[in-house]
Amino acid sequence: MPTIRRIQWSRYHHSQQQGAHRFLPDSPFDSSSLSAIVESLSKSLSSHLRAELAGQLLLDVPSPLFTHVVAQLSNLSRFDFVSFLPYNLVVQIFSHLSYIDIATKVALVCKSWHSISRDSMLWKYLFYKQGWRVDEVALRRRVAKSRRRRRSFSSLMPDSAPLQMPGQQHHHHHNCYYHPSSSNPPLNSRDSGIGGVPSGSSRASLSASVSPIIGQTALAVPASSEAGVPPSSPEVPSTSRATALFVQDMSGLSSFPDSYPTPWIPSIYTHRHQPDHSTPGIQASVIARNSKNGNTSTIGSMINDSGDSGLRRNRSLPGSPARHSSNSGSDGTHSSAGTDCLHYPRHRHNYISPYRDEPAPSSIHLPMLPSLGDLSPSISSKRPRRPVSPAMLFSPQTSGGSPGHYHCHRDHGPAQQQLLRSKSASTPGSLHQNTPMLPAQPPHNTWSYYHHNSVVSQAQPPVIIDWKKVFRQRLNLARNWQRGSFKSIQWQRAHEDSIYCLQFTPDGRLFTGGRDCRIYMWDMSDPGNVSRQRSFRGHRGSVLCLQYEDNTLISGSSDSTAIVWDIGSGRKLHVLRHDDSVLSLRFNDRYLVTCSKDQTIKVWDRQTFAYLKTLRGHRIAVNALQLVGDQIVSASGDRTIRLWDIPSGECLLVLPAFVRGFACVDFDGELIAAGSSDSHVRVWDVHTKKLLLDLAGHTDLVRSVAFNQRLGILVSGSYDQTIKVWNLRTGELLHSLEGCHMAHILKVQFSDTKIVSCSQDQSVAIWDFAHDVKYAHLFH
Amino acid sequence: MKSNLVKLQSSDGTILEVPQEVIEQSKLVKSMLADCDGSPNEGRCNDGNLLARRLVDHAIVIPVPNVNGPVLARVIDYCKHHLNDKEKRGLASALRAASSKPSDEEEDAAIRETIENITEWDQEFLKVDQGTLFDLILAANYLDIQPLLNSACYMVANMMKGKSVGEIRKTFNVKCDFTPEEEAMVIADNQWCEDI
Repeated sequence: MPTIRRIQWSRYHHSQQQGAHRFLPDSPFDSSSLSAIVESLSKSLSSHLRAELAGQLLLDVPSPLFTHVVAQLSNLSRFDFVSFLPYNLVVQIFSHLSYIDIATKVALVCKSWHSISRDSMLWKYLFYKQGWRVDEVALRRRVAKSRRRRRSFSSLMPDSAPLQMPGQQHHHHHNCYYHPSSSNPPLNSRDSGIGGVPSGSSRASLSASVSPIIGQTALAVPASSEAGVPPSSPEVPSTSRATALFVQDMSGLSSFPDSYPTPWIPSIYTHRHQPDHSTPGIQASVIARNSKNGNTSTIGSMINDSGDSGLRRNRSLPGSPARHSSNSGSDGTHSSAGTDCLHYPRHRHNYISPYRDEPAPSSIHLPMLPSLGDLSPSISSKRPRRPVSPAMLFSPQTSGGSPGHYHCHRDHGPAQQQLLRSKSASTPGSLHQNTPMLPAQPPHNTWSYYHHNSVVSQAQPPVIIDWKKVFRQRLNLARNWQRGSFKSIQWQRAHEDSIYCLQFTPDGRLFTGGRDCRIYMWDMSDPGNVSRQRSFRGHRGSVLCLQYEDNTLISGSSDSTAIVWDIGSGRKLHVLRHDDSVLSLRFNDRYLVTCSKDQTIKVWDRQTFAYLKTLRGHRIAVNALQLVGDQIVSASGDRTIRLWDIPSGECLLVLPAFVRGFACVDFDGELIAAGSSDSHVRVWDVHTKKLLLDLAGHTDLVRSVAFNQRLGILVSGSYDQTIKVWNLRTGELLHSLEGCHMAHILKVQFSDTKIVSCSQDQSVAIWDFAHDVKYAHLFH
Repeated sequence: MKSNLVKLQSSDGTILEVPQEVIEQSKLVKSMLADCDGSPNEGRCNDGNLLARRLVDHAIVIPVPNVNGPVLARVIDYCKHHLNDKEKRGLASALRAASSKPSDEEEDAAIRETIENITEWDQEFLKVDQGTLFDLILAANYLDIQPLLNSACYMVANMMKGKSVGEIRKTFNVKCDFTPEEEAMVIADNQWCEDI
């Protein structure tokens, strides 16, 4: 990074001049000739010779000065990477830190670090790194809704205004690489250029990551907003000052909309083909620049809630695909928006020395479609030689949204490519004139932004999620689990008799089956008001087990049958038979497996419910089983746990016998957890066959067990009327939940937010750990 | 397949010859080569061997204008060392696909995998001065070599781990531009992270 060094060095040089003169009073050089010498030397000498020369020169420098020089030199080998790496790379670096480091250290380093520490995309990544999940589609919908309701930004938008710091302006003058007085074409701020890439094209691809339906609606927006709000509209509103403030406020939002937890995975090199183009993008970047707030980063992205903004960021190295991809979408005119947004910071510009000789970034390069010709040095002299990855020119299937809206460069024949190229060559001026002179008209640009924004919110609000806030809510939830802070809701007499089995779904359905031979479907989406919606009658014995998935409900009963139900009508579709009570069943997309008191496990085809095979091996009733892929883990009263392979029908593994039989089992492909009538819960690693945990704490048979490695939690329900929550990694008992059930607990299930249990006492209880968490239902 | 040589030209004009399969770890170069391959415009045929020969015979060079010679050489060193990783990774992802896990968990595994992928060799390789490290990051980003990019970013993050704010400032030569009040504000703002 020679250029950076030189800048820093010269700064040092100026500050030290007087000192230097003290040491060399009769120096034949003054400071101005010195810089000329340095310049000529650096031109004429190779880097090796320069280093040599510097070393020689330093040899006879008096020691105080020498020490100073050494200290300065060592400073020059340490870089504030935040100021010159592209935004996405800085985010990627920070993503390797813990959220506590981000919030308590990175944020405090300096203002530019602080603004990145608020970056929404970073927090989104941290969120997923925690193993947390959220229903993003619903979250967007929710945020959009609350935003419409408030006619302003939702509570998931940052509430506190960005730090309005004195000196911030100056700071960002320095850091945002934009000097209005500069004779250079204004370089885009790093933040808006790399961060948001608020080009028209990405603006329009807003919806790509949301859903195709929303996408189509939103696609119409740029056109309408542009029609309604001519950007150069003469009546600059007198409210411009107020709106400018508004924008400035909003500019602090760290809210990159994005749909990718690992934002730097470049998978979408697409752009929208957009007939009506440049204006929104220009407006966006203009605002970003005019609100000389440090946190300008998000302006652009606020307007584009596009999943690929992050990906574009990824590509925004100079000469790297982002420029091309956003430019290339357009025929000529649109390029102005794209290029405008894709300037890179001055530091960067200097930093990559090869570009110093190239045209200023504001001039337009349409992508050079790679061909051997372009790669050849012999003909590359006049053209920009930046190689363009073909990958960035066409859209892979992985991109979201409806493919119809993507403009795919693969579709261009070579002839068209030529056409594009020649167009770009022939109209550089016309391209350039669309690039607004930014400092000239701040108020009405701001205004257009504002107006533009409101138009958007009427049509289809671009939804901005502040992932830092989402993270915070989810952290509260995690802490509730840690602390054991929950609210329990219990409803008595859910059945007429013991309730043996239950299952709830993320969308708030709950199925319960009981000794009264019935299965009920409940709506518990509002825990305070649980209502029974449907009942399924047909079993002639206790309903012992059930599973609901993909609109299919299957239940097993002590009447020796398993019944496949029609959810709509509540009628039986299939009846499958064992020779004794069906104690447990599981199904996935290929198999239905049932186990019975008759000591067998039966495998059925999931689609046709035809009988496939019987797995024999257990010598007593098979109490419970779990199915993952084509592997079954079964727990039996014969004190063993077996792992079966369905295709071969073989028993792959028998876990060594313990003193008592097993009543329940859970399995996720890696770990097996089983509860035993010796009141222990044990966890094995299925690959090493090692016993990892032996959890003692219950005082009676453990009837139900469930765990989740992502959440690191194991939950067990026992005849001792308690539910215990364990740390799956350490085996520590976190909480013992009691007080609701006054009889044997027969089944527990849990999710990120709650535990649901049922008992012999005919009641169902919800232990809600998200009682004080916003948007809790989105965490499931 | 016999290894074909590809020439890369760095920003300072150095030309480096690399076996094609080595440098194809750069998705940028790979797609460039692939695109050369498929273009009917130049009358080329799809056979990889033919293309590569053409490349060599006609001394056609891929310019890498963002990366200087020494850094490019290091990148190539990295690619050479990781040449056989691809098969391992392919195997791992095939295994994952076979286990038919839900996609979000797959994603999760991918994240974990990339972090675990930082081997001791990588750490040694990346024990370089900051300037080189950041150059490598930029090069990896430009050439689209995700494992290198990820490892290098991890190394930078490592320089911050366990350090106080002051030490971080020192490490990266950053001047604190907060006033005490602002600093207090930031601390208060992020209080929620710490209280359990």
